[in-house]
Amino acid sequence: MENEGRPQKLTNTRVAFEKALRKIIKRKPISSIRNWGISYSLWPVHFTTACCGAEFAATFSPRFDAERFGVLPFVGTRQCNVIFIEGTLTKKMAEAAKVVYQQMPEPKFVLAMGACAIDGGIFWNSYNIVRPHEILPVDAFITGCPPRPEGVLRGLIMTQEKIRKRGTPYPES
Amino acid sequence: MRLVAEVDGDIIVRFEPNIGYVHRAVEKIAETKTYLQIIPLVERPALPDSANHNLGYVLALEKLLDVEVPPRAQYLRMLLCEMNRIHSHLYGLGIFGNMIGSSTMFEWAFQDREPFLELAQQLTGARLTCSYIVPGGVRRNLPQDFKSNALKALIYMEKRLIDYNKIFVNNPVTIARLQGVGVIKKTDAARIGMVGPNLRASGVPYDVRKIEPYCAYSDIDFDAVTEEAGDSYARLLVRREEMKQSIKIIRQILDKMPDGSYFADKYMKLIPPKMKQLVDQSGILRFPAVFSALKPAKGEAISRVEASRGEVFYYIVSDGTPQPYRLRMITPSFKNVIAFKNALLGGRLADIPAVYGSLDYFPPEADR
Amino acid sequence: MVSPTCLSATVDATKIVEVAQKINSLGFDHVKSVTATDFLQENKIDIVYHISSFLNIELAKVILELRTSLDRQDPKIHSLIDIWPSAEYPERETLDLMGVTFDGLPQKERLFLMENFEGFPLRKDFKIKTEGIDA
Repeated sequence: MENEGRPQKLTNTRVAFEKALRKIIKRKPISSIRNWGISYSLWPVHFTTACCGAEFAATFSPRFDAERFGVLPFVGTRQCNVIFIEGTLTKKMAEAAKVVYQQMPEPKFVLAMGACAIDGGIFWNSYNIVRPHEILPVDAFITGCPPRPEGVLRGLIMTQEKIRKRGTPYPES
Repeated sequence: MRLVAEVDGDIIVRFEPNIGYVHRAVEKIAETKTYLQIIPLVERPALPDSANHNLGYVLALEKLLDVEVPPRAQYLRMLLCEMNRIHSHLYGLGIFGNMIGSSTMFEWAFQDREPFLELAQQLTGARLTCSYIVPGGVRRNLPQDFKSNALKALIYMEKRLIDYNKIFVNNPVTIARLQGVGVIKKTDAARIGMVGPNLRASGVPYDVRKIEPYCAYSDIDFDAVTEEAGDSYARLLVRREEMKQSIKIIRQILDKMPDGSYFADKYMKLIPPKMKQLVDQSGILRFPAVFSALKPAKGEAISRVEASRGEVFYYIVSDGTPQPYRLRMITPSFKNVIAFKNALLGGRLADIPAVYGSLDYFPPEADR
Repeated sequence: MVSPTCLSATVDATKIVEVAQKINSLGFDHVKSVTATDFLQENKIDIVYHISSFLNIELAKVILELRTSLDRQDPKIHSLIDIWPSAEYPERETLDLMGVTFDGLPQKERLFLMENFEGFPLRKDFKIKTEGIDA
């Protein structure tokens, strides 16, 4: 009764056991399975920023069918792990983008779609826009204005290969 | 955009749209670019509907340049604009279906946009941002097998419209969700300044193609579609009927297409002879050198065009230099923002997606 | 002016409400756009209202321009929102981007830009980057 609710005393064997477990998880067979699972279940948030949203919607149409790669656009931010910055990011929208990015759980990825998301595009000298790579860590850039749906799929596949080869950070407990 | 609603239980008492999340300052950037460089800039705000915005800007510019457009170019311009109207209405219907829960309608509508985007790619080289209409005419001639492909696409679309009736328009869930929701009466609609299919669904027969015909619309036989009820269901019916009218217009354009040149003589004779040979062989235009710094006359010009979402209004102030002094564009979604306040007062919270989808609001177009 | 169906009328800024009421009684029922142009050398801001009609088919073919000039240091004009409710959003945009004060307009906060934005972008002395040697 007295010991209920107090943390367990950390004996030497328990510390050694946890250390060994962490080493095994980060090693080849288990970490490859983990990366394979993450790369084939990337769910993007419905975050249409600007005009590239028209081609993003076309990528999920029956002709190009992005769902066969495991992506499913979802409405709730707590269940998503990818955010597509589609098009230009204005100052008002950048605040909203930061909030949405912070709400997503780890591990999370960012894809910048379109010429405006790379370096401003045709609006490079506007007084109201922000470059996405200055506020969020971008994993892949997709070129085009707007990019063809095949281009968007290529960016997605590149991100999946990057996850499988280099892995993703583990949350420190 | 961000919608702020103040509710009393379930009834909406005050409604404020909060816009400005896509304000990219097109009007200020246009003062630093030459007249031809503004064409892609003006197309980007309304991406699913770029040809109509392109046409409005070029019509205002041609009034300052004083150039005569040949008849074949007028018909080619109308062809691209009507194809754009069809796939823009399909985009609106798809998003509308997704908002009230019918993901079948979303997938079917986006699937059926693809034949028209393929036709646009055959004609102009790009899917959405065509930049096809230039001062003096158009950029490319009609390809050889375009007419047979276009007729196949139109027959396919007519069959699909019958399928949409069964799945979405005559669906009892849709009717229960949309009838009587978001009513805007006729005098209110004219007073607050709404435009486009939303205005015509409230009973006002205002269509710029009938009031002040531009291009060659006075030679084509079609109707301006109106409905009387003014609710969300009437706006859905108006858009479906307009697609049928656009199919009728495209058939007449392909039959009546005149022969001749697709670019004005005034600029065609400024192209050097070796380049002219290439142009005649391939049917693709190369610009004359004067286009790099067009200097229109000093003065002002206005123009209005019926785009898919409503009426676009352009006002250019020129001072004789290659850059405009002031460019003003009023887009239809900007004029429709005020309709949110009127349509939703007294409604329920669950009616917000139904009314939002029926007004076919496109945020980048409103904020420019 | 440059179109056979466009009429233009220039009025003084103080008389604009009376003229607008007269035009409204003729049948013109909505405002298409409110444009403000900045003339830095002549020290004035020009305002142009483009007015037309929806319900009257004959008047729908005509676009009426109502022009007035304001002093650049303190641009103030009475709002036409009581006569034509369709002028609300274009006037709010002019307030936000050009700094013209409209008496009688209930909303005074910015429409497009953020609250802490300084300056009025569409004025000619607000410079943005351009291409070329003087960039």
